[in-house]
Amino acid sequence: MTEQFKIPNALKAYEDADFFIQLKAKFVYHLVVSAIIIMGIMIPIFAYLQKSSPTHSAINLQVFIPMVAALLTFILCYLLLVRGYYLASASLLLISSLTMIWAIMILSDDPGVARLDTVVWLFTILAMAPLIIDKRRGLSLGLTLINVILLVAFLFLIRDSLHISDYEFNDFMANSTVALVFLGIVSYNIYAINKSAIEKAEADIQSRKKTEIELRKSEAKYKNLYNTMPNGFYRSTPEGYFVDANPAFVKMLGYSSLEELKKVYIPTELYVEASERTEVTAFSEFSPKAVTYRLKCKDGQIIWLEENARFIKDKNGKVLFHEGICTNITDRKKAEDALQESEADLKSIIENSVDSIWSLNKNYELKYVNHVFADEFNHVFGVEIQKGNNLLQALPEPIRHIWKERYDLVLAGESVVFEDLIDSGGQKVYIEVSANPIALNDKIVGACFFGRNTTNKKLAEEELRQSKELFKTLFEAAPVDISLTEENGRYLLVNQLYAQKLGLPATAVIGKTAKEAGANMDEQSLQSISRELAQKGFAEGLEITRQFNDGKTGYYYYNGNQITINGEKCLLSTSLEITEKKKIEKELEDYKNNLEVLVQERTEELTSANEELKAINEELYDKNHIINTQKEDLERAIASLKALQIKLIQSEKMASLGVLTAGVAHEINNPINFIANGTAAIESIISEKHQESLIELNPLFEAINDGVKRVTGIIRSMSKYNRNEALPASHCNIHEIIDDGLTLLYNQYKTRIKITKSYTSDELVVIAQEGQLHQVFLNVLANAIQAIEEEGDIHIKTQNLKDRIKITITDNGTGIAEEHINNIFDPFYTTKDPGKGTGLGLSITQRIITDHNGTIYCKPTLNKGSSFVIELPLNPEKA
Amino acid sequence: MTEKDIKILYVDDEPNNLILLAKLFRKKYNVLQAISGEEGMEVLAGNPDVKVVISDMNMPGMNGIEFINKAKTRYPEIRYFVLTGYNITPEITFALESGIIAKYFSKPFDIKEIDESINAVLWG
Repeated sequence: MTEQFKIPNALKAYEDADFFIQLKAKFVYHLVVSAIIIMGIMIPIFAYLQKSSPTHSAINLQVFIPMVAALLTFILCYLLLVRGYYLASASLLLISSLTMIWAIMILSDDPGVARLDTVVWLFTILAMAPLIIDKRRGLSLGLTLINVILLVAFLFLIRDSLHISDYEFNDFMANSTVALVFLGIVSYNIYAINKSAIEKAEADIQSRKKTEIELRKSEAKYKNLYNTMPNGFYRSTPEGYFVDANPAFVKMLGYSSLEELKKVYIPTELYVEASERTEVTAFSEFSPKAVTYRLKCKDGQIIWLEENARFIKDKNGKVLFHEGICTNITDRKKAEDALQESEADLKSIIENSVDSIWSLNKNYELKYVNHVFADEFNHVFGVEIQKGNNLLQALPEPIRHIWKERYDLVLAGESVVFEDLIDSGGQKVYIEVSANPIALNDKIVGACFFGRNTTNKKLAEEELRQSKELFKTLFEAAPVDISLTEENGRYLLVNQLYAQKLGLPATAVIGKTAKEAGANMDEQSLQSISRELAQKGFAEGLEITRQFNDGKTGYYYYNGNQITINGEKCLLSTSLEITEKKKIEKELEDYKNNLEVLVQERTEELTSANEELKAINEELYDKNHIINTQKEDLERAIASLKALQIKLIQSEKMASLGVLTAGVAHEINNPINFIANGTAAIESIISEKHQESLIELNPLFEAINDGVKRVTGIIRSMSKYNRNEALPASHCNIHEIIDDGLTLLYNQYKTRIKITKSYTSDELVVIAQEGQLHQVFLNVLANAIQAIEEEGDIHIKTQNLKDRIKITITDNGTGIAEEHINNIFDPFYTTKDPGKGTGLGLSITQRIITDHNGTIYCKPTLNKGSSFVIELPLNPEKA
Repeated sequence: MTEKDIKILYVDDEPNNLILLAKLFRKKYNVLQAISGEEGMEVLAGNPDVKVVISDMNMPGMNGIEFINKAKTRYPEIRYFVLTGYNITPEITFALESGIIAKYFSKPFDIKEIDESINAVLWG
């Protein structure tokens, strides 16, 4: 609807009325005004006409009055109308109009048709009714009906005066009534239709008005928001210029007005980096899309913006505008960066800590745990824990309730430090845990823990304690005075021993100087100590004298060491009392001095004795001849010694004979071989070729063979006897060895001693050094032979005792005296006269026997004579 | 094969001994003679069918054991004996114990003992 519906100023009262009324009011207004004007014109015209009419000289009052009444009525209607009383006005108009018509019709004395034709005015008025009446639709029907009845009644009443035929009358009545009724129906419907249409339009208008109001309201709201919101809003073109921006956006970028901003070329002047613009302006399917980027403000400052960006496209999809709502997040970004940095710092601190760090929320769940704690926990309890785990549940049963108590204590708001000893799998671990509640806005939300493995510390503490105790014991138990003095000479510490000497309790000594405490050192000692300390830094083994309160002087062996304790220079002095020692030294000195005196005295005594001796000496000269005699005896002794020497030489010769015999033996062997085998060959040839001479020659052959045998025997014995070199042990036939010995000694016993043998039937073979065994038996047999002076018997008995063999050589010679019997094996022990034996034989024999793990002893014999027993083991494991 | 066909080698630096032993065994064995270890090796080379070797111990040059050791490597089947005027030495003991020689004889030798020993090694 393009035309605006205007209400005439007079109808201001209907400004707010509904459209229908407004229209109707307007119509009525026009109507009434027209009617008034028409009436105002018609009445004078009628009056004129009436006056100028030939038939009527006076005004037809019957017509005039109603006309005037009508005019007045119209004026009244007008007045009512402009005052807002539409209904009253409209009703009055209708009814007055109709009344006027009826008045005219009834009062008119026009003939017939001229009277009737006024009926058309009824139609006119009634036709108007729908335009005028409002709401009461039934009114038009009612009006019609009344008018129809009035008409019918009127017609019948004036029938006679009409002077028309019945047919004309009936026709007229019928037509007019039907037309009236028809009109009524039609006008009712017109009214209804109009009303609906108008009501609809009215409704539309109303709603549009409402919408407009709402729109205006919202526009106002929007505009308000647009202008006042803190977020920036903008719209720009893809070409890079702003078409619109809200005040906040303009301000954000530091510009003074939108106009100024519109001049800015966005890609170069606003964006910090071209890539950022690309990202922002890149078309996205998601609309709006969220982007974060930087822009340069007018003053060059760079700000961070967070935007919900939208693209406005035309119907072809081409982007017309970029639009978005931005928030300046520069501060937020700064805060975020600072937070990240601080988080990174914190994380680094926590993770790189050597201590365990963990935190719990109120449900004992781990909010944070560093790797040290996780590792330690795993190490001790064998459970892997991580963020989110319930720490209480991860602990083993016995420990769990202890820790729950602690956690609850901390979660209640107390900061605690507790120490614990955890025994896990035999390993003892000391820990120290500092627990603090975490509060947020005065409410406790959790607790944080710092744990340290203090096992080493505890062990160190224990060691220290033990070391301290040890020190204390040593300090007090040492048999020396120990004192520690400051640089100014005041005692810091003394041991019991020293304190006792001072006669004070140890605590009373502390703080005093030596003099005050009652220990006085002589000047010399003090000087030597200070000298040593100055030169070397320590004094070692100085002998000093000291006097205590009891006045007694004591000697001490002093050691001083300068040490630094807690940055302070101190002197640690130890003194060993050597008073006793000194005393003894002194005594010794005295004795020494005494001794010299004694010696002096003794020397004098000796001198006098010497004088005496001199006198005696002269006496001795008189006894010269006695000495001479003795001298001769000595000479004789020397002679016999010489003889002995010769004998010794002989023995040596005998010994060297052994060496010779070895060579001789071999040299003889070959010639003997020639003789022996030559003879054997001769014998064999004779028996082959000269058998007749065999009988005569046989005894001769026997003699030769015998001689050879004997020579061979002697040679063999001698060579066996002299085998002294260290040969490997060989099988020694004991019987053979004994026989060999007898052979060698044959000359010495042949006429005077009878040899009897009781050899065991077993072959006695011992693994031994043959030469040495030969020596043994030779020696024993020789002794037995030499023991028999004139005539006698020697009995040789051998026995096989399974694990050893036993050889007994018994003689009935001179025997051995009881007192000598234990000495016989001693080296150089001999009962023989000088020159008749070295005394070494039996000792060597014994040595040889013992080397062979055997035994040799002299069995006592009842009758005179001796019996020697040799036992040798048969065990092959012999040395 | 009669006994006479069996060859034995006797090595001795003393010619008298060689004559004596050969004489004594003239009926029994074919006694080959050598005056030294070297000659002994030559004889063995020419007479590989020698069954028994007897060697004197003390000889100039190669001694008995040295000769026997050398011969034994080349002729391991031969049975060796040693004859010595000296007493038993470690060398002889070792040779005896390690089976290089079957037996040793002392001088003056007993022809019967040698005969028995040869029998023992030839005929078990």
